[in-house]
Amino acid sequence: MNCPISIKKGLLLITWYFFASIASQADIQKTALIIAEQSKAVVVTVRVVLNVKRSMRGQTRDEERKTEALGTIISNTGLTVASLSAVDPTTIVSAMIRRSGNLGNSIESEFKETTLILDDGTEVESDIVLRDSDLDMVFIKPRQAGSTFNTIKLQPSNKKPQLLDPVFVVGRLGKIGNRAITLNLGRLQSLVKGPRPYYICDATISANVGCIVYDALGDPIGILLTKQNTLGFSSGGSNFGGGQMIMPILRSIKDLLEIADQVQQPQPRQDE
Amino acid sequence: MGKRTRFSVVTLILVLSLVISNVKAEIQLQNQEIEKKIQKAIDAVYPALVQIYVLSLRHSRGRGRKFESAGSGVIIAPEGYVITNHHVAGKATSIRCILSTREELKAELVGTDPLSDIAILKLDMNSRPVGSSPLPLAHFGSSETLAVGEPILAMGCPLAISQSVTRGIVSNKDMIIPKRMSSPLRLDGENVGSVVKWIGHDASIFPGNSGGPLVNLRGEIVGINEIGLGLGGAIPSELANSVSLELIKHGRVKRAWIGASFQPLLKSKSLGSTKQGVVVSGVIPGSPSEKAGLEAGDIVLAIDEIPVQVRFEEEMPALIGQLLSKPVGIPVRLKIKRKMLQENLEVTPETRDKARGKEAEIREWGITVRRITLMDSKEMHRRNQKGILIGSIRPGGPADKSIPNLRPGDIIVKVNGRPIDGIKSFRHLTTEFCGKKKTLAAVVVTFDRKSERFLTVAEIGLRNPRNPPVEVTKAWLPISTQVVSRKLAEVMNLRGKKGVRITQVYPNSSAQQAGFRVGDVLTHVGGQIIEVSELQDSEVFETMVRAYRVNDVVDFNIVRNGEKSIVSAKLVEMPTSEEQLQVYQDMRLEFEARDVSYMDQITNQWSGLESGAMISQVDSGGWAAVAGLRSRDLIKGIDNKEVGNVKDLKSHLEMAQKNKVRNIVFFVKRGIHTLFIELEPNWKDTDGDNLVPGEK
Repeated sequence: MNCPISIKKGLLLITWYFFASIASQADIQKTALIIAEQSKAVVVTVRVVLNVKRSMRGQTRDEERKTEALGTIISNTGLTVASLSAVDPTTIVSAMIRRSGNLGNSIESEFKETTLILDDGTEVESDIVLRDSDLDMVFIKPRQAGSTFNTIKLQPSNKKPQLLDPVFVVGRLGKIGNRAITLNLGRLQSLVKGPRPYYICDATISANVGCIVYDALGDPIGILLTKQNTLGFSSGGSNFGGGQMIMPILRSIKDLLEIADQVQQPQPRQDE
Repeated sequence: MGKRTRFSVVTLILVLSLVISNVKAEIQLQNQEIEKKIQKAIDAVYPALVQIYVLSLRHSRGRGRKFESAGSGVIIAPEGYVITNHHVAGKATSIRCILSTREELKAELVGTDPLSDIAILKLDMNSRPVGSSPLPLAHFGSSETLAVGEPILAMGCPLAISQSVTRGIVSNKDMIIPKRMSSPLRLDGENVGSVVKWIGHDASIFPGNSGGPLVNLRGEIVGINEIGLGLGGAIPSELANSVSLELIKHGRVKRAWIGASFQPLLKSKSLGSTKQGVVVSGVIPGSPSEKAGLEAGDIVLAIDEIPVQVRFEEEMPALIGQLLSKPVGIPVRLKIKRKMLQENLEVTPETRDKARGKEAEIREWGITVRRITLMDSKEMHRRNQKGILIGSIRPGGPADKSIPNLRPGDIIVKVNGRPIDGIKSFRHLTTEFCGKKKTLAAVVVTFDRKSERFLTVAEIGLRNPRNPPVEVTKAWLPISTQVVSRKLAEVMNLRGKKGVRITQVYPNSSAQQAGFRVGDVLTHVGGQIIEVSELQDSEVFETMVRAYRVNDVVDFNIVRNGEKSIVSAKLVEMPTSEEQLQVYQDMRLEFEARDVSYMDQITNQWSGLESGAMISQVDSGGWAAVAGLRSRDLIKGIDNKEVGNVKDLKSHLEMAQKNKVRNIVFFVKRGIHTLFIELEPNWKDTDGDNLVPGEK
């Protein structure tokens, strides 16, 4: 029996698409492996010791807490960006307390020690120099001037990634995994518009807050950070828009560079 | 009735009337005599009464907190010596006395004795105007000759009111605190009742009477009021006088110690039958009594040939007083009975140490400490008195945060391998390690906890003012808003609408220029709905504005008087927040201040030109708190010098400390009011060397 030509074409198309997607996956994998090798030196661990002061019903208690989070070196001076809420989780608690209106309780934190742990295990004493609570960015600078660091070259792009575009992120495991490099592949799931638009990625990508996300061609398209739900508990919606207090998002490189620029231009402060 | 009988009855009535009226007149005369005596007694002592205001230190939770209290005293010497109680002024860091003439003088603590609860102050005679009349004095009489039922006067300044007198009689000359009814009265570890048999009386006394005199009708001091046990209790004048003489002469009371404890004769015959003597209940190891061979169970029959008899608790203070007053180093002959045999022993007393050393705050560690006394060392089974004992710990302070952490009761013996003898050497080492460092210094601490010796590392030092990381400059619309709740929306005819209502438009701002008005309801920012309807959503609007950039021009949808419109406004740079302003922390006067923020100007409706240093925190129990400074006071000047900002404040206060000025006067703005607040810091205390003579 002869198949109609359209069915033949359709079968050819499906076959082509199948092999093309396999080839595409293989391309992304190749690209990701190259990027991982190039950028492993810029994906660092930020270790912070915080002095946390908790006040509850008039009683105050000081304690120290240690946290580790991932960061990315964005200049050859060692300037590193990380997620503020990952480095200092008390910012989330503090915001929750404020929104609850419970004025008798409060939590404050102060950075006591900040260390960058580089790819080769070297620990570099650093300081927190700038933070943006709204965009969830914190910038860390090595204390000793004059050293040169590997860095990622970031520049604003006119590319407008589309939903479901494949993306990947180069991350790092914690101490338990010997801080090995990780690679995660995912897709862009949502675009939230506004003065500072941001994307939502799928869960496999989103765990790597503080790390740069790349498109299929290996170009950086954003940094994974978090966004706090400023609405009390009244918001609804599916997936990330539900009653969650915090959700991972992909901020644009443009936003990152705009804020990082402020580090270079110290803010005028009233000194003693 | 016959004429004779009538005459007899009338005569009898007349005679009786005469007798009764004579008796009445006699009683009236006696009362007048007593009233005269009372007035004379009052005139003799009242002018010498002193109202005492004390700023004392109370050590707890790693800090020495100051607190104010008041008591009474009486001038006993023309040089300006005032007698009062130890519990009134013994821990004073600053003393102010008000005489009966309302003259106010500062005073210093000359010496204090917790065991008898007597303290001696000295008025600052140099500050009296030239040509001032001599101080009125009161004199001691004898409490031994007092009789139960004898009228007495209790004088003092109860409840911090001025000099007052109440009247009563001597109720009891042998008043002690019954063992079974109550725990002993302890001051700084000393059992006051071991040497004091109070004069009990029923003259009314109140808090604040402490330290004031108990006076007989001859106008003599027969006691120093101290306690209230239903009846008032006064320290007998014999004891008060002898202690005060020693304190004036030497600054302390030197007493003998033999290291034995005693109790009244037992009812049972288990220690032998005797009607005389006192039972030795215990002997401290290593003490003179142990060296002399005295043992628990011995009955002491005589001391230096003077027979001893203690059958009741009331007889114990006299015995203890007798032993304490023996000269140090001169053997005391004891005749004792052990089982059925009598023996003679010689005990050579040593100098008695205090029960508890004076506590001192060591801020760099977040601890209070005291030296180890002889009895401390005995009770803790230590070979010597080296080291320092931690009295209390500040939660979250350096000592608390060390791992393992230090605890009250621990004894620090070494720091970085260097031995600690006492508080002075500890302070010296602390200063050496901390120096003028801006960061904390890590030190290795060797300490004993019961019978174990531990090591820990503590990061000590004075915390520097917070230096928060800089926050990114944010876009801002200079207005205040409130969330339009669902109910509010209904009454405003905005049912179903969400947004915020403007509560304030900041003057001379871009928001005012854009035309925003109080009462406008904003529903959209840049076309995006302001999704708020609950109080918890109060931060949403500001967060939406902050998403923009400084100088962005943004459209705001508003509803004004039911009419919708759009207002375009330029977003400006958010002013520096209070948290970002540099903080000045004064560790000496214990407060924090910062520069005036933009929101301070708005909240207080200042013109925008208000300058000064805004107090952000006042530590409770600190000098600033005691003087009355409060958080949110605006310091405008110090000692007639203008304070424009925290830099000025720091400079003026450092100068004051350098010159050790007696008074620092702050000119302060509090709301719409201004006032002068006077601090009178004891610089010795702030420098931490306020130890009484004899303390290491």
